[in-house]
Amino acid sequence: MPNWDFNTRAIHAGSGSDPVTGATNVPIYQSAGFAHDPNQLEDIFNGREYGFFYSRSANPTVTALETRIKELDNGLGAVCVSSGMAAIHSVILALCKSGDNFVSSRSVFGSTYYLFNGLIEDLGIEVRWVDATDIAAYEAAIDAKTQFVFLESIGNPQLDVADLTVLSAVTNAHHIPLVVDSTFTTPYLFDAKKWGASLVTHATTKYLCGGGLAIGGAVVDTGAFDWKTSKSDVLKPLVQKFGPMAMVTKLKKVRSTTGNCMSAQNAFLTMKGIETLALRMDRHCANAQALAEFLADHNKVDVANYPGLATNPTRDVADRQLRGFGGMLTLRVGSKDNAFAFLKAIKLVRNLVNLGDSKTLAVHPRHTIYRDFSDDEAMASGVFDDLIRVSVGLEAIDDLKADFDQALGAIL
Amino acid sequence: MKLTINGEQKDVADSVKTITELLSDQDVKMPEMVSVEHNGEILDREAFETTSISDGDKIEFLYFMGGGAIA
Repeated sequence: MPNWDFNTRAIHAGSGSDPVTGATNVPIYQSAGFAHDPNQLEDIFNGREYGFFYSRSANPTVTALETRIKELDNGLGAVCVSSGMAAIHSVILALCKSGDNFVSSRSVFGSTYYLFNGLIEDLGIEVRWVDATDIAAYEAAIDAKTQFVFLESIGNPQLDVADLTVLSAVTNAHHIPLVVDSTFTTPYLFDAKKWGASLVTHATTKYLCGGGLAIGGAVVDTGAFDWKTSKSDVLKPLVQKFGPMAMVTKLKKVRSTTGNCMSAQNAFLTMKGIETLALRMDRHCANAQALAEFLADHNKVDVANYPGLATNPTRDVADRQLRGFGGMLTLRVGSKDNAFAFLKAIKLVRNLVNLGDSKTLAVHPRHTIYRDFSDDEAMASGVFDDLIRVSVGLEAIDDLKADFDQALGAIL
Repeated sequence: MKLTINGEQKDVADSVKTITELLSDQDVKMPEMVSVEHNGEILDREAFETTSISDGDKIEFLYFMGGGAIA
């Protein structure tokens, strides 16, 4: 790939013109299987030839998206899966077996918490929770069986940003990969490789695809971690055979064997979405900053939080580590009743769980996403009873301010 | 020079000096997805440009397209 800028790669990586028809968009290869002559099929199965045989294992439209995402993260390889949760799950299966552990920030998405605390713990893989920005706590939790450290580039919904320069020094010293979920930021706002991430997980559902269209996920190997030094028993056999490509290969094996593949249709939609990623992220960030400042000053809002506000405790780290503060903000309005009054009164903004859509979205996390949290767990994760989480969209900022203002007026 | 590529004896022009040039000369598809083993050693990707090839070398190009045992 020529030395193109991010915006150019977002549009061109992974898809040239079709050699047969000249079509300039990658076809949606809506095909479960691919036929070859027997020698060729054997060669493809045995890795001697590049080709496709079954869409659960690999699909040409999905592969085109993987190339595009890999280029955006300046990575070694990307593997696209069915959802952001599948991406995180795949990383765990690629590195851990029963008896292993990993360290995770507490400041993570509700479903991630349920996955780690539920299904993963039940498999005998221990999850060690630490406060997102407490680097000493991460280090204290690492032992001989620790396979990786996990956190989000901007915590959900505390909107906190950990210092990755210091954290990656810790993971490097212990020879374990640093896994960063960049769903809130995307490669446009967060240069994962530069800040020491070994693996990046994305829910492509959100900003990468945009438009609230298609569930999908991706794992990117940035190439920063030398898999020859990995402690993982389940990864070691592949290091001998594939060298630096061991992790990408392992993730593909996990995908193929568990079947958490991305559909060709969703891969196509996500590729199209990525073409406008830079434009959309710029608008999301500008709108979110303006709306956060408006809400911080509003008399019906107790607390407004946004990584770009001076009141956010990790603002300086975010400013250094990210190219923008993202599109997510939260507000506290005093009580659950007030929050519901607000959510019933919004006209332009939609009440639903998702983020990264062109449309502005608001949700009450405590009794939806985080409903299975105990009160203690909720407090520890910053999911207060009066908290509303907003995914700021691409609408005109004055229209957004007007809708928030009138809906906040419904609070008595 | 004579090289063994994926188990097959092949005649390759002497002007092909490095692994990167060999990938191009042999029209290896999707080179960014291929693992390269040179005389029994798996190469780091940065080494493709700097690793010279000589007569009698054994090179394996390995893809992974999916499936198979988990390890």
